[in-house]
Amino acid sequence: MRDFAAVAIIIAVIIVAFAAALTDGYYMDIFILTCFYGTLAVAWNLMAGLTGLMSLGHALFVGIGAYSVAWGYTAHQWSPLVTWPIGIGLSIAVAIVIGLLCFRYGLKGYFFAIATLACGEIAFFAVSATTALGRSDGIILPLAKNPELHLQFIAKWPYGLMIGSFLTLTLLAGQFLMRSRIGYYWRSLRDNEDAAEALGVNAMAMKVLSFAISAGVASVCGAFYAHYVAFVDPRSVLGVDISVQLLVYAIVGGMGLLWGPLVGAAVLVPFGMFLRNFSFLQGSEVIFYAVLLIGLALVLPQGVSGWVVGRIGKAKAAAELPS
Amino acid sequence: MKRLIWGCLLPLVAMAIGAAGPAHAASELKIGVLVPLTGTSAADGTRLLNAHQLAAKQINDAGGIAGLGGAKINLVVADTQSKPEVARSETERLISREKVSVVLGAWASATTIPSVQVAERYRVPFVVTSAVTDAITEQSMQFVFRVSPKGSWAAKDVGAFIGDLRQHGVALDKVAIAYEDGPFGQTVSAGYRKELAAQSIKLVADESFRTGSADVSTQVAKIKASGADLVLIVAYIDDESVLVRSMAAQQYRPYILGYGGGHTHPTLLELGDLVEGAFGVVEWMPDLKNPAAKAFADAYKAAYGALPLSNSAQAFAATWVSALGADAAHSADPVAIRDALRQLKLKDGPATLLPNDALAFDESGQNHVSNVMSQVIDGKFVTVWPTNFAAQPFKPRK
Amino acid sequence: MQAVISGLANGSIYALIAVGLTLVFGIMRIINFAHGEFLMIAMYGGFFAWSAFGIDPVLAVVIVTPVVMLIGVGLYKGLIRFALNVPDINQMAVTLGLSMLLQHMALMMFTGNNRLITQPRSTASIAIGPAIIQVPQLIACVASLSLLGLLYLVLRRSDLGLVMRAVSQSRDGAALSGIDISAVYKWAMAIGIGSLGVAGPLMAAILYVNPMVGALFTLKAFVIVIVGGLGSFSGVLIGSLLVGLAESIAAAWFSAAISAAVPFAILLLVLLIRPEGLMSARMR
Repeated sequence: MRDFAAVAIIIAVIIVAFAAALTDGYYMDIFILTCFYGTLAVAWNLMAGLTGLMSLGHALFVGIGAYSVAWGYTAHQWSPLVTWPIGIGLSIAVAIVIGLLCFRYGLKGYFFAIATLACGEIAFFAVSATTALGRSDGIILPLAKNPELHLQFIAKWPYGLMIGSFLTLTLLAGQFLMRSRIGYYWRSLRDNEDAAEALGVNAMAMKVLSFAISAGVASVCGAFYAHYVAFVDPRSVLGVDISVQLLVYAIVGGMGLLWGPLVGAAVLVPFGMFLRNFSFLQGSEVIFYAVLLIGLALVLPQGVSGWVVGRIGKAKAAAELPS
Repeated sequence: MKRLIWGCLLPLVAMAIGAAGPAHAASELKIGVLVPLTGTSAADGTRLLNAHQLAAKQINDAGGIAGLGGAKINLVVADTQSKPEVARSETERLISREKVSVVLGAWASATTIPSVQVAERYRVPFVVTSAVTDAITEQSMQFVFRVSPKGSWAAKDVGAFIGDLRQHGVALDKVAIAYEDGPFGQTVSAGYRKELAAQSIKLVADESFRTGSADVSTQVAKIKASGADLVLIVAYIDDESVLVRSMAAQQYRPYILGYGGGHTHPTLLELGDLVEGAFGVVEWMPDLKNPAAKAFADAYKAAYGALPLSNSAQAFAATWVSALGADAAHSADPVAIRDALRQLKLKDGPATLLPNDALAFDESGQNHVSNVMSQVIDGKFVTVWPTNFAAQPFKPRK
Repeated sequence: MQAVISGLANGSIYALIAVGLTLVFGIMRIINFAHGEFLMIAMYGGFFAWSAFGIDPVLAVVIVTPVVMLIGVGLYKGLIRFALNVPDINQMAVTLGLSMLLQHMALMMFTGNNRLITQPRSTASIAIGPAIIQVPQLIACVASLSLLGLLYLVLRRSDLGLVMRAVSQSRDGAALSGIDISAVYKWAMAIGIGSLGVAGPLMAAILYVNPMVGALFTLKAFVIVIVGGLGSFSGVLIGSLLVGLAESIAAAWFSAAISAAVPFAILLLVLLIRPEGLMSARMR
């Protein structure tokens, strides 16, 4: 039950942060981006932390979601009610195909990570060469006649509400999955695949399921991004940058807990933006960020969340011990 | 558990303390400047920033903005890191946190487009300095202005220039395109293709390469085999140097015509004889026959020790035009400045250094400005076309 | 034909870069995202040797290589040594951070401007049948083959090579049999990074130098190392030539964006069909 308590607290923090940012566009932007990366990072960790499948190709699914919306809207005036299911469905289908292929041939660890990275890069270059998708120029989403129906808002809070809710839902669903039979299967696969299979866990099906869920959530984020920014191009939604960012959030936040990477995103996204206030010296803010990243990766191998929970556990243990 | 909450809240608190800046001050005009100071276009960003700062200094030294009671310009600089997502959120910061009255920027189209859309939502004028994507001023947005020409206009100017060359007896029958297969190269080369077809100029080879290719001899060999006597190159200076060397290595010396500020870069001249006679279609040149252009070039050289490139001139014009907009509006209010910018028609003064008769924005916010042609003559970039701006006539190949 | 020559030229340049990576990755199992940045440093080394002292890039190799080797050792002693104690994924974060750090330090020190090395032979070429090869590229090819040959000999014939192979096969087993793992790693880094000292000046003469140039090659080097098989020199050679050729031939038929996807497609195929790489690490 303690895990649920932690998730409840995080959700409370999300709501408080949303309320605090309500009146200020800049804070709301930070909130939105933090939730965007946070949701992606949690989705990523559903695979990496729980099932032991590290993906470096999640940009692919963000891209599928974002391009489904951008292309559907600019080419056919399709509403989000149509484009979102297309994006999610396509992402899940692609994830199943990649998953079946990779797991059929037993790719694990680095090799799986690099295979997903290769898929992401192939998509990047394919889109860069496809005229219908705007090639490297990307697609601008113009203002619609009835903007609200196309999720275009002048105010920021509807976007904040949307992405905040996704994050909450993802956390709840993730927590529920973890506690379910599937979650135990996943963790058994992560810890010892051979043993799990010997006990009758269908490794293939379970891994593909984990990949598909994660990809589906990532494409929701991508679709949201297309509405929020109203511009998609290969570099911002398909680039290896996004995939690597997720890795960084997971490392800083910690992968042991479902919401660990969310903590990483919640620390690094605002921090990175905060540092940009000091960009008067060329590159100084990136250097600072890089040093912090190296430091955290070395000093807190379990990530911030692992460290905090570890401290709490110790404190509890100490309190319970009769001295 | 308390730690947990703090762990999540602390960053936000830190933000609140760190980012709370001063609001509107009457004695200054805050202008947001988006430039890439890090990332792939860092060198370009530095040159743009120099020009922005030079303009601000000139205005402030001359007593500030008269229409605002002598208010000084305060440039708030933000680094886009050459990334679209960063440019977008920095625009958010400049507008909602720094309360700038105008935003200028943001170098490449990919960083400019999302930034422009943020400014539009906040109803703050955004003056585009150098992005070439046509669509930027074709979205019926109310707060976007662009001092630079549309990317496709370069193709028109190139077409006209080819026509002129032919009239002067230069035999140009077959044209080839060699472009960098990224946003910049794809946009400009698409314009070329359309324009060449419209003018029924024969396109005999159409080759692309990725930035950072160490060997492009395959592409060069194909262009050479096509017998093209003019090669239109769309690339940044780095890849252009690799391409030009490869052409020389294959003893292939057609006319070449490069594009933009990347082409008229001093690094290109280090190639010496290889680029002698090379043309370039460019938005501005320091030797333009135009008093404002010369004044800017001299001031820039005095301040930074090097001649400015075309994009610096655009940044300079954008800064001046925003100040003049605020001057005419007698207000630092973004909407008032927007309205004033709409009415502006500048025929002289520092802002008119670009090659057109008057700097003015049409209803879509576009400044109608053409490109000029440069040629490398005796190891120097010289403006050779159109004749009313040219410093010298062009030199046909011996 | 030109596409084949050009592909082989590009391929052998990739080999120059990837050979160092296969040592570090193959022996230490560290994904070094900063590999390209060390290449960038070596390229600056070559450029400054030429611009400040007029040293020919080919000679500059002799000067730059030891310097870069020292940097490799320093890196091991100062950073990577500590990174070996944290999970694999954290090591990636360390090298990723290092890559950002080096890029931006170079930006601060050298600015973002492109630097060119111009020599008479920059545009010289040699005809091979109907095709040509440019002289700087040819030099890089020769250097690439010699470097691979040299390292192959070192690994085959010397004691150091023997222990390196042992560590690569089983770190624990090697440690049990009394091998000083730390010293082996130090040498792996020294040689792995040091090999970029050969690549840097020669590439500076072909391309240009700016703080971002190295990053263009990091991913490609990984692709090659995995296609070829971890820790295998013949794999590096075959992988690089395959990638170079495929890219070049694809570029002759399609647009450059498509040809840029080709190495990744090859990688996927190899991973699925022969995950141990074309030349699996049979370093016995």
